[in-house]
Amino acid sequence: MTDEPGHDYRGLVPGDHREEQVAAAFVDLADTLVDDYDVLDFLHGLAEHCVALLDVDAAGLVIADPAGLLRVAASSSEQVRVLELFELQNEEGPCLECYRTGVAVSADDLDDPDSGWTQFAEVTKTAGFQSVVALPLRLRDQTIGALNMFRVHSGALTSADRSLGQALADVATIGILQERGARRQEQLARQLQEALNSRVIIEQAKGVLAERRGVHVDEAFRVLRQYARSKGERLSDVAQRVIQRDLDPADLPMSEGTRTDLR
Amino acid sequence: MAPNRIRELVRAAEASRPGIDAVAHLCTMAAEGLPVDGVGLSVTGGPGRHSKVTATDDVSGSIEDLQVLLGQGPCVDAVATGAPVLVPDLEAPGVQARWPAFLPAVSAIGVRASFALPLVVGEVRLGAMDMYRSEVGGLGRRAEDEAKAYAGAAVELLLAASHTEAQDRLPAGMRSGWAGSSVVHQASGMVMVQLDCDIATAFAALRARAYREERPLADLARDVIERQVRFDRSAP
Repeated sequence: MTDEPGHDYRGLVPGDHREEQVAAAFVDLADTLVDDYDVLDFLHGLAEHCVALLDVDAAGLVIADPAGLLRVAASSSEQVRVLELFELQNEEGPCLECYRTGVAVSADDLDDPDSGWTQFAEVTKTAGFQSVVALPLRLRDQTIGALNMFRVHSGALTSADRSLGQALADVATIGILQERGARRQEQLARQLQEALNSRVIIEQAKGVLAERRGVHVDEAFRVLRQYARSKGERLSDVAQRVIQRDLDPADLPMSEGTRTDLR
Repeated sequence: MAPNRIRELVRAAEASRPGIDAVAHLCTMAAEGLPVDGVGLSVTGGPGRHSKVTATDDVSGSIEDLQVLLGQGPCVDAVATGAPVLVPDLEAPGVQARWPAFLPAVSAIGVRASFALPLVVGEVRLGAMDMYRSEVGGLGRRAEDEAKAYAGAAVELLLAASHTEAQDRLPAGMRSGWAGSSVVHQASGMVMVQLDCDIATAFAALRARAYREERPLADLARDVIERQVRFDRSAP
């Protein structure tokens, strides 16, 4: 997997190399069987796979925290405007409905007044998306979150895309549960909480990095991930060291596309 | 811990009392629901700076006051490490050396076991919830999980209480989940660099400014990210 698969695959007609790409997603899953694997990095890769494999333009994995709030665990895009679309749905939206009902929820055209979610539709269209799908992350009889996907164009996902999307959602759930000991119910909540807490630490580290390096927070994630991968460290460990000042952001490599000085 | 246990506790605490009083009520619920004799809660304003928020009884109150005064104890350690500090027997070997001033003082008021749970949001440590028993003995697995749920609920309530007013001014769609909001955490990281402080102080500074300027926290955070607002002296 490269650092920017979302962009690398843009030129492909959906369907090309699809089998290889599906295989790649499952190879990533196999990696999660190894002790001490990085669940957030895995989920981030999975979100990128969704954009590469399916006819969607942005994908995010949203997990409910122990307080029942929907929180972003990973997103194919780290842009603030996209991250906020997931969080916004704690009030209304397909993700919330999917989480509550445990079934797939979609809006094929947000201009359609019957789709409901007035405010969500407005903000989503402003962000440049016209249709949206949410597929449940299911564990036995329980829904732990949703795979939420956005499309620039209106229209429904093909049934093949929908099935593959649900397969990827199931892969995400398995990946989360793969974390040691998470198979037991009382430990599941703790594991989910830890993953979400790690995500908070990553957001904080993105801010430190953005300020130190004079880049936008949207770009900071890529720098963190590239460093973590090159050193074989967990994303959340790298992020934690940045916040605790054990790792100087000046030591992190500058990746392509982060050179713009915004100050 | 059942997935929605924290939310249940938050609702129960808020149902009887609004705002910061709900935190006090939550502590009373914990004292009644867990195998402990009293519960106290203190918040931190940075390393070594703690202040008592509430306590269910005089002994718990003294435990909080002593830790604030002496700068040592299970709650201080829980905040410093971000991990629970569970001591089922305060007279066990090695405990004395850990808190030489705190221990004799609490022994004198009948405290035999102490359990401190940190209140954390990512790397931000807001404070700790302290529970004590007048008899030696651990909480046990189930009560330990339940105690963590109470601590999680305390975090939600503390954060909600400090922002109820600002929250009310938000448009409906942007109101929820502010503590889970990505922009707030990103902005905290930026403010940490601007003020050359730790992440907890940066988070507190961000919240304080939002409160002072009577604006939604996420709004202020967005301005920090877009570099419209700075927290250091070179502010435009």
